[in-house]
Amino acid sequence: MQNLLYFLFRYGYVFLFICLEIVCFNLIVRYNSQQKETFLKSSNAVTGWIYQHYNSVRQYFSLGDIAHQLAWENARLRNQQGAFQALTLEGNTTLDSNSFQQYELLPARIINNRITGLDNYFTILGGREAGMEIGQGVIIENGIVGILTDVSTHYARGISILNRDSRISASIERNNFFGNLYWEGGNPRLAKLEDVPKHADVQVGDKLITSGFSAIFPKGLKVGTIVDFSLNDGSNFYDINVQLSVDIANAHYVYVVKNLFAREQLILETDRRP
Amino acid sequence: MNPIFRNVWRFLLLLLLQVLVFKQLNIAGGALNYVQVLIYPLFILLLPLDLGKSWLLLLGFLLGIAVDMFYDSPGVHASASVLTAFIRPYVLHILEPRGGYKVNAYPTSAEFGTGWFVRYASLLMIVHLLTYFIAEAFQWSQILMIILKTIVSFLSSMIVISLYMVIFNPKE
Repeated sequence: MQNLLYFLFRYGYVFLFICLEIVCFNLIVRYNSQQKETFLKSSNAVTGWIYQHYNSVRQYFSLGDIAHQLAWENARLRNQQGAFQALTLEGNTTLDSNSFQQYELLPARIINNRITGLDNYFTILGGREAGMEIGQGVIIENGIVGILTDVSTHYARGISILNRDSRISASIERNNFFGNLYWEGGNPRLAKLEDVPKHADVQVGDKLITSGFSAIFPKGLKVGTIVDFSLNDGSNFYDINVQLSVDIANAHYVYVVKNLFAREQLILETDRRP
Repeated sequence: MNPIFRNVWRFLLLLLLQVLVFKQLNIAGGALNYVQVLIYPLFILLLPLDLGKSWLLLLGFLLGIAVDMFYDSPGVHASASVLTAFIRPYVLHILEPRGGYKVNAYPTSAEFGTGWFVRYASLLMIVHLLTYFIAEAFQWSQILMIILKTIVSFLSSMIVISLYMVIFNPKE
């Protein structure tokens, strides 16, 4: 007994080491299977608060970029408005009771963003109180940023498209063949498109847009451009490299896509009753 | 200054430096998106020599989990920190100067010289970064990428750690 106690006293730290490593690896594995370890995420109150205040200081250093982005967007919206006014003046508007609003955009600000890891996440200021919900898409003027995975009262955290677990349904604008867009790490402007069948007509320079099949993103948002592709022997699917249209590192103000029919579509698609 | 207070202060300083400054850095940018600067392991490196091994492990775990909360990667930084804390006594044993360590000494460059500290920090940082990248990728097929990332991140982290040691020159 005395020997046992001596042994434990002398080598107890080895057991402690093994226990702590088991805890760590348990966390890594559980986290990878998308379990809810909410207190360890950046949307919790403490880390969210720190990031928010830090970001409001840091923002000053990129005011030029932000103003530029917003100015471009303003210009585009003004152009659109001009087009609508022209239609109205000519008396061409028709109020159609069959058309309705499916998507609503909620503005938000990115307060924490990372592109250097293999599994990147971002945090936005704007949570449940602002209308954010889990599963909503996050977009920016020239592309898509990611999908919300956790929402707290004032913050929301999302999985960036620069994350190995992220899959976005994208289609080729020219002929509507579609596949899954994913990222393998490394260059933050380069992603891959999988599951495009080999009979599809693919060409370098083809524009990719969101397919609109999921309830997350509307159809037709810019995603990127095909830079090269290959067909491996024996494979039925193309291996396609895509240059992303969005530079996630420079995303400051984003829009959260609220699909007003999301629930209806999900219920319809998951309902297995005959 | 009280050693406990000093280490709590260093813990917070290194944590904030890591998550607010070095996490946001994207040095190479573009195609060379490999470089990570990790400065927080310096906290484990600078803990007093006479601290018990179990305390070392617990503090390493606490630090790693705190960094993980900001990196959204539960367990990844923590596993690397715990391993670093675990092997620190062995690295100190390898680098033991002739005549052994003085009682109440601190593992700093002011105490043992710059050459000694660089060797000490290099050994621990290589282990830390390698563990970190292995735990992050969590698959062996990426081993070449892991080694590449470890090398470039080691160089950049050692530069930052050296700067910290030159600027603050902690004696204890």
